[in-house]
Amino acid sequence: MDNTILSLKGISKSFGGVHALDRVDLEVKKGQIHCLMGENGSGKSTLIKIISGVYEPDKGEILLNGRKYESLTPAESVKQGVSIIYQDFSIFPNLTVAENIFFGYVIAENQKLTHNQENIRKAQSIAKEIGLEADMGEILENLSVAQKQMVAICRALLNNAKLIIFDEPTTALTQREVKRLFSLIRDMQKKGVSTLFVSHKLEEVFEIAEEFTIIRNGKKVITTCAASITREKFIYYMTGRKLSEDQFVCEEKTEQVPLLEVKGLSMEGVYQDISFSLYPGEILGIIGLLGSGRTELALSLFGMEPAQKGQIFKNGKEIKLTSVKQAMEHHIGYVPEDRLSEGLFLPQSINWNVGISNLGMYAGRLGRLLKTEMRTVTQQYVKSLSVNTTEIDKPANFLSGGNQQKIVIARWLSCNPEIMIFNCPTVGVDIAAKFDIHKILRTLASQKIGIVIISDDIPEVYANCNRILIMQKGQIVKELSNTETSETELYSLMGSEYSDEKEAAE
Amino acid sequence: MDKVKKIYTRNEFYTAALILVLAVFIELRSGLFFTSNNILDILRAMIVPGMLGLSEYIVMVSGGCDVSFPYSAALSMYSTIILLKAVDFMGNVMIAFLLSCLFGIVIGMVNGLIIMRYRFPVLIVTLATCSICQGILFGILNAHEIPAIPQPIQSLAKSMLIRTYSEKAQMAGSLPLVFLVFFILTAAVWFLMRRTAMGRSIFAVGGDVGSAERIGIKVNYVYMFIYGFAGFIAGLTGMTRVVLMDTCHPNTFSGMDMTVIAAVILGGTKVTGGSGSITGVMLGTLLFVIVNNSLQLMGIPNYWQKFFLGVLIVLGTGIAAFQVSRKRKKGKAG
Repeated sequence: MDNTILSLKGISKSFGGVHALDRVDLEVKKGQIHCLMGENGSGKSTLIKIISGVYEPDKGEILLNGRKYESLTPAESVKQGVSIIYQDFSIFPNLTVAENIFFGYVIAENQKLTHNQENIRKAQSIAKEIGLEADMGEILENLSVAQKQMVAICRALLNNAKLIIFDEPTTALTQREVKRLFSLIRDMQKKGVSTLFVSHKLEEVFEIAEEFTIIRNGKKVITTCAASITREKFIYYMTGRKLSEDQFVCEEKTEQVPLLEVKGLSMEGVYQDISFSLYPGEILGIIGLLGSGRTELALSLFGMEPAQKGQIFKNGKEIKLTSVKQAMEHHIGYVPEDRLSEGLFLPQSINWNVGISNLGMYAGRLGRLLKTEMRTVTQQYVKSLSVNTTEIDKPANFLSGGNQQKIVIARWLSCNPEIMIFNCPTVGVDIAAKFDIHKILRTLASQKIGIVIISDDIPEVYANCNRILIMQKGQIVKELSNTETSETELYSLMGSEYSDEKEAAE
Repeated sequence: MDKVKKIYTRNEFYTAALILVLAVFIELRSGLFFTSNNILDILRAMIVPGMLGLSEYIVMVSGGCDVSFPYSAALSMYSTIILLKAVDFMGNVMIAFLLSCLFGIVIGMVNGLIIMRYRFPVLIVTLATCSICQGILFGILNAHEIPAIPQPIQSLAKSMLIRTYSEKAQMAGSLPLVFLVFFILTAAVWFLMRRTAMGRSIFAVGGDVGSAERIGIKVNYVYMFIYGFAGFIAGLTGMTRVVLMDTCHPNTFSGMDMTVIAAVILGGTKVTGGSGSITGVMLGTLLFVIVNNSLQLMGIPNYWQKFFLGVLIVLGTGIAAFQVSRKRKKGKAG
């Protein structure tokens, strides 16, 4: 029993009659990298909160370093060496790097005075240990996301963490930053620090985990080691559904005229000389790293950030896209990357969110809004896109990520789009909903709508796009058909600019 | 190189530059700016708005905006004076200050309690307590000016720290002893905000309340401290004002909320919380005092002063509005 740092036995917790957790067991050994997997709403966050002492379990026991607790306080949890790296890192944007690292320590030690040289020296040595290259006096706001995360890790280590819990740590990181995080986790493992890695991304888990526990609907499904399980099995355990994806095959292009053709599109300092064409019924993927110009290109095609040079043709006729209104008149729809802030009116009803782009259609005489018609249309889309709700008057923030994304899609479909641009359509969406959205994309393509997916999710693009363009530093460097490439090739193509830089630096 | 660049982007820099330009301009036109009596006048005029600015600074760093001080200060000072008069007070003047501070702390704690318990917007809560203080002052206490203040306070009012005579202006100047109260308070607030765990916790709460809670800062305790301390400063300022004016007038702080808040913002404190410096607060206050006091050296009529003060207030609140909208945008992007 000596090599177990954390052991949960038969943990149950319910909120107002709803079982969030039902007799869950979890065991993390010293120096182990353990993954906790589950879809959104499966009870992962509740479990984390029980380990950190925020919630008290209704039943079951917690063993930390061999000591038994019926319930745990946050302070005791920290004292026993449990640290959590939250999704937003829980850092202070206005304080310096050094202060962010040692502030938790100052509070834990109940120091009355701060900012002494001793604390800064401690922060510095920890930062050096894990390879955080940042000026200790820099204001945290000016750091990159990955650096902020490292600051949070430094803080955990300064608090003498024995078990670090990462809550969805890779959401805002680029591929390369994820690689660095993983090697850091492995370094910490060598020093005896255990990791509980909470995620719902398969690729990551297969790469980093030694052992993992899957929970679904508040119940533990299985604990097993990574080597002994296949991808399909894994998805089944996570979702309780058998899901698999074939590669998307585009029907023969019978039309000679492309639906959308872009020639020499340029925006200074962002992207240069972009040319491609999109045929009806196609799903075209554009992949590139964050900062490759992919998002700006998408916004240009939607008229939000007009290009400075180049031509855009639709059905062979040149069109101008200098405003969103123009793009909508040409039946171009755009589903943004961050649906929460750019795509939805969260506190407003689902009905309103679907109808908002198309108010003109529901306007009666004197501009009176025809509410019944609007409701009928919304209800129809909610059904056809299998949104998991029947109450269209509920606010949009009641829905899960995947269902919210369906609402954004429904809004555009009600405007009869001919071209749809999706920017990272499945970020923060769980597996089952991801499959649903992919299915929707394919259905749309079969209705002769031209679809562009902009993403850095390689498996998604590989499975769903019949043609893939690779974007690097604002330029399209390669075009591939999905039948003649592989995920590995795509990964290396997308990331190659970084390896070039690295070589140059060495 | 980097440091130099940073200075340019800060409000403090522009405020300091504006002060310098104003000072040189007034000196060139009147030749009376850099005289000992004018400098002492400015320092004297800075005492009250400077102290109130410090209290606003603390609240603003935590992410709030306190508007209760004009009448919490007035109520503290007025209650103290009528109490002392009732007992024919002849003791140590420190007791007068202590009593006023105590009243201030109580009012501040009421603010703190409401904000801590219900997390209502600070502006609304303090607006309400300000109104309540005003009601108590004029409704219950039936306040009016008390020119005959207790003897110990009167004698403090006549004590001077520095006396000078300027040949150039042919005028005597003086700096009252209570300037030391302002000076010590400034040093204390600087130490609090820069060097103590409590001060840094206030910055942390202003940066991100949720994070502060999660790393174990007792946020409620911090809120109580902030508003208790702001109340303490209000009480202290109230009594200081009595000493400076040698009379006790219940409306003496009315209208100061706007200028104090604008001065703190012009000095680079962000209304969105988490950032600001004492130097900035002092610079902002100095700018207002110069416009208020020294423009008359150039023979500029009174109503033009009002005009310039108005411009500064618009500038100050304009910066605030800009910060809020930018934060909202940033929040969306991140």
